[in-house]
Amino acid sequence: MDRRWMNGASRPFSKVLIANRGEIACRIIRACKEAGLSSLAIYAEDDAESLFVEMSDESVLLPGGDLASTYLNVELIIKVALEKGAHAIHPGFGFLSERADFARAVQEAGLIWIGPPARAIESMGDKMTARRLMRQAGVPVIPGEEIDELDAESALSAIHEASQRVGLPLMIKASAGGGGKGMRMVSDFSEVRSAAQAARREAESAFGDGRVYIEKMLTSSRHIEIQILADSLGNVIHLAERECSVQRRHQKVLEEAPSPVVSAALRSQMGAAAVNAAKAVSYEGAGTVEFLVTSHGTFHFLEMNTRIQVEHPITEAVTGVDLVFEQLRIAAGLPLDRSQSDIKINGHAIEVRIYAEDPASGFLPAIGPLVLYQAPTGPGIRIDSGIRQGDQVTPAYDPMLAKLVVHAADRKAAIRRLARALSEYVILGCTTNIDFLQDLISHPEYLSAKTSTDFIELNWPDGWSNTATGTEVVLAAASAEASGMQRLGSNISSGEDGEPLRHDPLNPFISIGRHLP
Amino acid sequence: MRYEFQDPNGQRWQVALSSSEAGLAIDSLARGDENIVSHLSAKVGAQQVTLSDGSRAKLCKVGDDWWVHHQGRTHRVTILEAGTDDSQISDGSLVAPMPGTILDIMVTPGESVSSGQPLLLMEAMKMEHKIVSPSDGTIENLLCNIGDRVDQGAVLIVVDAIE
Repeated sequence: MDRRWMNGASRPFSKVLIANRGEIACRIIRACKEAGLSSLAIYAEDDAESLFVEMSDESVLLPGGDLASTYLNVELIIKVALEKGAHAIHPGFGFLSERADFARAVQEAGLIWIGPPARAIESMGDKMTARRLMRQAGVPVIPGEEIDELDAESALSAIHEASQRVGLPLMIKASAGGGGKGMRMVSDFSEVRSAAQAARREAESAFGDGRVYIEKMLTSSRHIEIQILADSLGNVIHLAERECSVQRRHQKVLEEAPSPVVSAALRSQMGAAAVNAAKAVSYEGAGTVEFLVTSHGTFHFLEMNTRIQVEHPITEAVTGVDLVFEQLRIAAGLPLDRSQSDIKINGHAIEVRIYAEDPASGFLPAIGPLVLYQAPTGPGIRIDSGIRQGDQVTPAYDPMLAKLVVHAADRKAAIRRLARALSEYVILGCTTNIDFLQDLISHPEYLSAKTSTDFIELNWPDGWSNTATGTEVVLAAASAEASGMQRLGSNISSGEDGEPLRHDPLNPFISIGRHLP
Repeated sequence: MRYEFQDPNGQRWQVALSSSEAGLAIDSLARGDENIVSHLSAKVGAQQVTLSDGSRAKLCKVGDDWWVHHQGRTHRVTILEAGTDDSQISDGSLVAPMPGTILDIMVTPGESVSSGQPLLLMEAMKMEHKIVSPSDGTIENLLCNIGDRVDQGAVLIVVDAIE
């Protein structure tokens, strides 16, 4: 395998353990293959037939039925790496990726951690510490105050006083927070005390740390983030922004790069702030600094994600930089091979997340067999996915089936390409959000780039309804039924007990008992 | 050949087809009480249907559902057996709404139950779901045990309704 790119590296390695699953595990395995590295997957029992296990050079089963004994099992994962001769561990995103204790344990075991230093994860993971560091580094933060009082009563009175200075509406957020836990919105001063108590209680039980801080709530703002790369020699560059405003309950649905509202001047200001943020914590590797941008064009530090992100492909499309390969280079101790002035934006890229969910029923997760799965292809299309036809979507893991990324000369062309790709995307057997996404990207407000974090709630206040059934659909179904079209679905095992019917040797679906990554 | 379908909005469709040179042609079509005049016909291929308007649909069947991808959109229609009510509850069989684990069973066979009474508790998609009795009646049959992992659509319990 060709590993000449690693010549001269201070921390060379040749085998990588991927401490993740599904789509991102596939992405990392592909990067390893291209880099001449061998890949070692770990998997839980219900992932035995998953694509990432099949794609990896080697794989090891982690026994046990829950996440704590499998994908979150720090000790066992490190033991497997040592036993199988992996030199480095890539955590992907989610799972252990932002656990400083894991990063530290990996390094203490003599392994290379493909991620930022444990100290940087800790500093950015504690939101109050991060806000203070950012202020010191001259990075604008959301107006607000940190509450240091530990004793419940004095904390509550400090929160009360601070809320008067910050003003309404405001957010009370857990310092150790994430995933919306320990977060409360306050729009009336009379609610401050009860909201603060609830936030502290929730934070205490979820994170064992009840500390909270107060932020002024910036309504109808945009979520715009800057990708950065930092090497072990202290060089830091930014790779421009991603606009991630289209969200549903803090879950991103569509991301694009560049942002339609960021000028070259704003880009370079935000980029400089993101580079300063990374330097303030001696960052290393790929990371993302998230900002809220108000309608007045001011930007404020929200948080830093100390890992590769789901939406990284749109940055790869417009900058031409392979971010996962850069993570490998940086982990090997190599210096960045480009400077800020080498980073140019070429065209426009949009990513949509294909979820197994039912947008017509409040976006509840959906399950079912992927009886027919045909992903779009053609110019400017990239699909990152951890599934294939015949897999079973189960409730065990995240409902994201795939990421569809399009790249074209400009935003309008990218939207046209995305519409074309979505209409080609055939997934039958499990409900997805593909039809909803088609309506979303053809909405006039989206076309004119008037997106904010409440875009979906504002434009579909009563929810979304299924595409109407027409005569053609009824005729097609009746004709298929009348002619006895093969009942593909009936041959798919519906789950655990799994012996599929084997009466039709020509049926491509008979070997199925797979589970969705 | 006559078929009845139900679309996701609960709308019933009745269609009668006959074979012709052009393939399968519509003899009659009704959406609810409304008759629709259509001269469309269809030719059936391996995994797709070509309609006489030139459009194509890709299809598969899972259980009683036909999944249809037509002109970029995904549809699902449920085929109804002639003369039956759509509800699986009508014959008293209660099925698992999704795959999951049975956490608790609150009744025993032969027990009288009232409409709305919780019968069993299952966990699916990391949430608890209560299966309740659709009517007053007696428990005719219990087809699961506590701790069982069940598939979507598996019959869990049968209630014999008092008419």
